Amino acid sequence: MKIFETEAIVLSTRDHGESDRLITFYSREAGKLRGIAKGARRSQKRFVHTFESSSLVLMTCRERKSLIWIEACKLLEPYLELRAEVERWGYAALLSEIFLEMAPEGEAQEELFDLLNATLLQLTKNRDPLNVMLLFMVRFLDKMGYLPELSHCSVCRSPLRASRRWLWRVKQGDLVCQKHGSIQPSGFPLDVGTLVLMEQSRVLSLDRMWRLHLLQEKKAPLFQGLIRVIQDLIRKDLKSLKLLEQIRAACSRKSERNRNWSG
Amino acid sequence: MSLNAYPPVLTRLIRSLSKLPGLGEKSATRIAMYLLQAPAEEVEALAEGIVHLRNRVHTCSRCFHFTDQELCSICSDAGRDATLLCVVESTADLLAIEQSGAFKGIYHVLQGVLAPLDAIGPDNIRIRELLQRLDREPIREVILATNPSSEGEATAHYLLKLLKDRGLRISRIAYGIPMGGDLKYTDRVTLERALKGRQDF
Repeated sequence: MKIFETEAIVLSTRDHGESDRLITFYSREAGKLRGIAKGARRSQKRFVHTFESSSLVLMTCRERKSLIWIEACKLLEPYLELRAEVERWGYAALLSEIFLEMAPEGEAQEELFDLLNATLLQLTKNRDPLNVMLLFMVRFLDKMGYLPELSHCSVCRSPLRASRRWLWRVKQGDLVCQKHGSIQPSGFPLDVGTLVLMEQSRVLSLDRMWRLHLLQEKKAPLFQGLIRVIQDLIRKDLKSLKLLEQIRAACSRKSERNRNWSG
Repeated sequence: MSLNAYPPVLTRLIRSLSKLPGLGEKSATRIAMYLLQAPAEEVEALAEGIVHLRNRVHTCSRCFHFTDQELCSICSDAGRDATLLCVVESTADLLAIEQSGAFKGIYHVLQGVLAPLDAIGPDNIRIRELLQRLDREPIREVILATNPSSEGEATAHYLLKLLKDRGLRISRIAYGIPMGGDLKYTDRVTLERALKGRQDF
């Protein structure tokens, strides 16, 4: 049976039986894979601290009929800074969940691996994690083929600057100008500024993409819209949003409490 | 393994036992065969113990450790330092610390950790109850003893954020090389943390 070595990012880890672990990871060489690490829960030497979610690791795997067997694993980058701020950590979990739900199994796409790794790095150091997540989601949807043509109306072919308001018809997979877009539940209204930035985030190189910044007031609606698109595509709710919603509510409760005390 | 040869009562018991953690069908069959031949009092005491476990054991209303009283044995022990609170993920972690004999304060069991992929956020573990305890009890120090895993670390940092303005001493259990360990087999993160957290000798 073939043995291969690959860089990979751990997406999720589950205990299996008495001492094994089931790991889902996104690898540079083979895309998304599920593997079993025999004895990983008991081993004090082979797998210590290597299967934490969002860690970049170097895996040695053996191909089997069903599950991949993980023979060895070396930690390359644990992205520890994520754990120090629960919002960034929550976004990293959302990133993993999007890959778990949408990335095709066993299909190597190096661009997706680089996007995942670069997004984790940006989440650890960028001052605006929400902006990082938005750029990631636009780029990811584009690489997966779900982003429509963003340069003109799919009906009248008029360019972006011709209309201030646009509609991304998610079901039809196209973008239409104000004249041709009627309000519909699966539609996603977008303004021209956001569309220009989305277009740039798909064409710029990965290292230059992070320089793009969305206007503060545009971030929340775009995040909600992109999440709705992803949830419509996977036909279920993303679980990690619950944590993000709860920490936001807790933070506003705390601020209110502090205001009351100081008042 | 085919269970057709056994009487239905025995088959049912084997199936129930094999659902227990760590028990496969073979071990479950061995236990069932032992119970079949064991003295009646022993078997009845075991059955009674299981029924009492379900009916009487619940979580302590103060710290969420398991108990068969209103308060657990630790919370009702007047000899413990009630100003020192250790926050743990689970009862199993509490018992591990108790077995060490190194801690004489009181506990708060979170009954879980933040786990976004399982849809577990702060409202799904006992964080609100912890904050309520800190409002009404004379606690001076909180020791965050969640596991040094990704989830445990994120939970500890989240708690730190919630507690830092309360005028309490907040501490985190130390990271490092286990006793009897070997440096060359120690992972990079543990070594880094052990060196950062070194103490005067």
